[in-house]
Amino acid sequence: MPKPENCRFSKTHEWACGEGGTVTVGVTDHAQHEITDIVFVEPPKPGRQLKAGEACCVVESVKAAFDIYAPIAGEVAAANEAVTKDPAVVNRSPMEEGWLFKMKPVNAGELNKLMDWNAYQDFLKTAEAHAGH
Amino acid sequence: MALDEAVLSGAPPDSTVLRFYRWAGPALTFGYSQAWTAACAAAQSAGIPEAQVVRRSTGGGIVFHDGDLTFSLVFPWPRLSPPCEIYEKVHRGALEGLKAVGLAASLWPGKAPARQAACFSGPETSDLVDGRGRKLLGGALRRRLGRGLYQGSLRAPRRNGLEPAIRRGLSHRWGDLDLGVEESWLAAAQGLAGKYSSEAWNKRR
Repeated sequence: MPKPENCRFSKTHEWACGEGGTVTVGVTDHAQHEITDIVFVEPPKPGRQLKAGEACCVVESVKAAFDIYAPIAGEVAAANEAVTKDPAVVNRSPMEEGWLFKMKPVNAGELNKLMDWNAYQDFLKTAEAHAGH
Repeated sequence: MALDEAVLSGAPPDSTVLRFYRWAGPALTFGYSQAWTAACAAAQSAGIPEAQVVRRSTGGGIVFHDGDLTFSLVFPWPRLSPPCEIYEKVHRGALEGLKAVGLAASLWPGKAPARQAACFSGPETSDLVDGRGRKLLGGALRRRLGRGLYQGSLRAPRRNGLEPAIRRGLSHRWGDLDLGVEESWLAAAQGLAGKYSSEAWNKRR
């Protein structure tokens, strides 16, 4: 399972972790905390081509549905069936069992455009107060 | 539904857009994640099998549109924040306006029960209720690209004067409201109308 220090982070609070030509994507602990009790997850279907920043996944807490975005461009390689059966896994374990989908990136180098763990922590302290999607 | 999505996608980032709308006949909307079969069964059980049944892009439960006052609010939601805070802010605004015109209502203080299929089967946290605890106003939310969409349904004992009252109350909480619908939003809504009448959307689960 990915360590935060080995992952990259988007301003829209997705994490992305590359390993062996595949990038695993989920929402950060901050995101699951703000979204609150997740009752539904709809990950993208395998085979779908995603652009960076494209809304591709929906998570729903009580009363509210949230778009989740592709952190980089690529093809969906797998969706996490476990979170569709038990959406609360995303709350309990957002960076391990609660991953949302895996991608085959068009260009894995795009990950380097995202924030590293320390930059994301700084982002939460500063820009998060008035920015982001 | 299509126009709400068009406004959500097309409204300027800093604008807050309020829109009231009516239904052409009996209708039922159901939440983004709910099952089509459950919505149709609810229409049957309610004795309105002819009702138009439409999936919303917002969360929440099944809502019967049988004389309710429906409205939507598109607003800036730049910082990811708990939806209960947004929900309460919308309802506090509506409450302020409704109380000003003499409607007896209050925010339901209770905790949300286990997920309910039907929105009006009972009040949830921050719903508006009457003096006997019956639900008056419920709603649902969608967050996309730093903006939010609230879709609400008000079941009040009267309709006269309620739209301007809600407008005033929401304006007090949310600031200046845009009340007009721009041509570009209407054009986008026409493009989206097919989606909301399609089986691919409504029967996707």
